[in-house]
Amino acid sequence: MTTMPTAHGEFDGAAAAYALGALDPPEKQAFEAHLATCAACQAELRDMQRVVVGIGQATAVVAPPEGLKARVLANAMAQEQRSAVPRSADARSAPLRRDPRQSGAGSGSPWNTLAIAASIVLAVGAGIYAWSLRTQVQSLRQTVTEASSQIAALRADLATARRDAATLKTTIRVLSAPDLIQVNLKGQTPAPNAIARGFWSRSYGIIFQTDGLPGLDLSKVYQLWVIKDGKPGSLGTFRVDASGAGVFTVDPSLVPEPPQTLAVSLERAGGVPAPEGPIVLMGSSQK
Amino acid sequence: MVEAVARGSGDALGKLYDRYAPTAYGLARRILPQPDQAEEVVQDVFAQVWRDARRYERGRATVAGWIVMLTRTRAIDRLRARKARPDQTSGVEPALVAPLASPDRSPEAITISAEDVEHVRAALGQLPDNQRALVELAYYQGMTHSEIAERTGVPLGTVKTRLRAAMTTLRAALAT
Repeated sequence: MTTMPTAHGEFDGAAAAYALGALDPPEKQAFEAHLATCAACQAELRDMQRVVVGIGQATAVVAPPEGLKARVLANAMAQEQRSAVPRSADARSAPLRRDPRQSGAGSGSPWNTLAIAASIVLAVGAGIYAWSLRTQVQSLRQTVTEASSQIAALRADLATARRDAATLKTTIRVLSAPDLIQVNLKGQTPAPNAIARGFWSRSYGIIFQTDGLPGLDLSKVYQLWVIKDGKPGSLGTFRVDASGAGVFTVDPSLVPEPPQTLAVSLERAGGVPAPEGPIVLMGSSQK
Repeated sequence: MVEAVARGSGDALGKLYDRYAPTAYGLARRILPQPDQAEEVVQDVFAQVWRDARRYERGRATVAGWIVMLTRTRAIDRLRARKARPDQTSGVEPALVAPLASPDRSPEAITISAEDVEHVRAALGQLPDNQRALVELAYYQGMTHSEIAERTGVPLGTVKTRLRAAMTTLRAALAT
């Protein structure tokens, strides 16, 4: 039998409260831990459980209402019955597990041969199963990787679409503005075939659209300038796509007044405070 | 009777109901004042008896004891849910509800004879009022020591002592 732990004193009477469900959570946990090792408390708990059942049975019976029985039976029988608890099966199978040793394993009986054959079949089966699982895992991993890259591509597409949508919105606003001013720009010596238009409105700034500009490597950018009384002010930098086309919007705060002249120069990446490179496009308002 | 229920006999479940439903309903009504809630508890209890009949082991607990424990737990769970105390689902030890399926710490059966029930009933009647009241709060309200102390204003230590004394008296009433 289990020896009584030295700390038993603090659990005096705990079995009664535990059986009632009256222990507060911390006490309950502590008692459960103690209970596992204390035969005296286990015995006391059994008695207290009988008391608890006795109180329940001693509670005044009440005739259930008419009709409850039919509902109870219908409700119960609509449910599936669970199979018996494995615990009793364990108890029954335990002697079977001891059998091989008792009968002398390896004595060469046909049963042993069968058992070995069976275990080989099991092992091979398990191997095949493991291999099939590994294959499935690899295939799933690949699927996940593909899905991830698809998601990344879709995200990039979405970002582009959002930018395009924003540009389009600005374009529509600028083009429909009542104070619209148009600036046509012509290609200069470095890019004679280039052409560009800038549309200005006080409320929406500039929408700048260009075509026919040569593509640039990463070290260069195009920079847009507004020139007022001979002084250039930067409106930002942009790049063009493979076909030489580009659309670029300028915030209204940068161009509060109708632009007299717009110009584009070719500058080093990041842009410059005042034009340094060659002018590739230039034009003045039509007003 | 439970064996027949385990074989899927609805008739047997009906007989079990006729015999034990008044006990279950009486206990459920004592815990839950609303009749409809008590009826739902009885319905749940017999549904579980039906589902778990194959797990029932004769001698581990009487059928009455099993049904009593199921009823008490389910009724108190509902009571607590109604009081909305999400931190504590049940004060009742679940292992006691399914003494049939719990790991076997107690090879002896949790059985109680009709005679024992009468002894417990008589002993309950003879408990000092201040002990019986605490037993009733724990048993029918599912209250823990500290909840009882809070409700009654009785110091926590006194609650523990009185509850223990009451349970010891009731245990002594059982024939050994």
